[in-house]
Amino acid sequence: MKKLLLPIIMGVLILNACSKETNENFDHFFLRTDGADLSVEVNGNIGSDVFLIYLHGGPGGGSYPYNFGYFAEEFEKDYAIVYLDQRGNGASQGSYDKSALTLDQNSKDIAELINFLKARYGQEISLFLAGHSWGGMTTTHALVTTDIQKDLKGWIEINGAHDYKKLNIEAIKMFKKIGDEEVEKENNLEFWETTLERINEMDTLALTIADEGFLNSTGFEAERYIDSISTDTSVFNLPYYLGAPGLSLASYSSNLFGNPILNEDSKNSPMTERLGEIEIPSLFLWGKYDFVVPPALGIDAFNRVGTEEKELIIYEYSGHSPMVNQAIPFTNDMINFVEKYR
Amino acid sequence: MNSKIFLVALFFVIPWGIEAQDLKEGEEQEQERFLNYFTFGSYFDNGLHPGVKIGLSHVLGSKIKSRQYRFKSRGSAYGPKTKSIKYLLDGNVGMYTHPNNHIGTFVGFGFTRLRTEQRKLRTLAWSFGVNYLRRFYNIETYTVSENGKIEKVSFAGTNSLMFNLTPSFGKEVASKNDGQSWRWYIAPSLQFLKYNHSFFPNASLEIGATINLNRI
Repeated sequence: MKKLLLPIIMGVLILNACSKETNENFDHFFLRTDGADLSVEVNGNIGSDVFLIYLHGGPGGGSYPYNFGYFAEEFEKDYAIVYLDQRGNGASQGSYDKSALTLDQNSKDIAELINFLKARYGQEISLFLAGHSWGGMTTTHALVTTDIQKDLKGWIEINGAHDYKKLNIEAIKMFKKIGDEEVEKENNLEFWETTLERINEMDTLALTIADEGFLNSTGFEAERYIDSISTDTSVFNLPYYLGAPGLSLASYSSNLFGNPILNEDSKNSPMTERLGEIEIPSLFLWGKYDFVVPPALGIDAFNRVGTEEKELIIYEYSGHSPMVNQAIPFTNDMINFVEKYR
Repeated sequence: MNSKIFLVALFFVIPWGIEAQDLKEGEEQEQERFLNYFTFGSYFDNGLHPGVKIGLSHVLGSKIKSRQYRFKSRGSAYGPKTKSIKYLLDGNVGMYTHPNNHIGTFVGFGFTRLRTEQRKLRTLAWSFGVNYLRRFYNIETYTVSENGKIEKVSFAGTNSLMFNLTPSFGKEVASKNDGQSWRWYIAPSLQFLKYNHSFFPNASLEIGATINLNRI
């Protein structure tokens, strides 16, 4: 038996050695706060003292799809990106009650992360907060319900869903407008006619959960039927996905079943009326063909924020993820903003 | 094994013992040792994250089921179709490593119904187990104290109860001493464990061997 045990133990140790070690360009840790152990990965030029806290979409997503591709590679040459798996998402774990799965708690987590980053890397570091899709909801919520604005140099909202009700209404308008145009041009008739038929049946004053689900899923699907949307294929990195910290059925199940809880809270927490409380420099980046979170939300947020240091950029050939669709201009715009306010 | 645990476990399996039919000579011999089987194998959390698992089993009861083949020609060639069924009480320990996340260690017990088809010696087992799972994070864990200082959390991780339901497919291997001394198996397992705010499904895969301690 001794002969067998040694090779088995050696094999396990060798495989475990695949874990990445902390160095000047990489730091990975759990941040324990209020029952959760939040998975945080810091990648890039940590010595620059400029950190972009980058919140993923979802809910039920994770930061790993954001950790590759042109934007991540280019941006990390000059600055560090802090990839946070929000509570109940990605590789974050812990032991807490269902009642702790709220936007309020997620916002507190972000505030705690900022305290941690300043304590770890220095009180004088420049911090920026960015959120994509549902991450836009979390960032908006955190900015107006905690005191983190004093610690941040700027806010970047990327196709951010800060108001679910408004988002659904605008998605319907957009489907009708672009759908009609596509039908007129006889592009992908089957898809657009079926979609328009379903959308025309919706009562915009009383959208059902099924309606909302249709708008969301069809919003992603519609991007495939817009010919002008381009894609950066370098984000699909299979080895990285296989080594992702959150790769387990328990994690996916937790993310899946946590999704409706966080979605419900997000739905009941429209941030539109509170956008005026945001007084730090703000950048809004949106894909023109985003049916999931239409550009109208970006325009609205741009008009409402309480700062004059703001900019709105709409990408002509992008959908819900301009960092993938138009990676080069997206990266340049991010860098320009960070350079201006760092 | 702790005798109290064994007595409690016995309480649950008395009905099986009552059902057990006459034992053959060979099986009476197998009951001579308290621990009848030693199992060892590779354990893959979610089929990906490698580890090891070892266990010991005690035979709580056994019976032989026999019936005629539907086709007489088979019956005349092979005799009656015979299956042995054993009820086992298992104790297991194991560990696995999930890179950039945690090292999992678990200890538990379970009940297994092991059926062996006597002609081809193929086995099918169903196990239900209860385990204590401790995840030790293999990356640093920090917390921020009230005075704003970073504190490292030693031996950080989470605890969980883990239930598993496991079918196991294998085959007994005849030894030169006219008996089956070991069997190999492959066992995909469905688990339910505490993760974040509730219990969620998880999966694992085991590939290993079981040695019949009564035959060595």
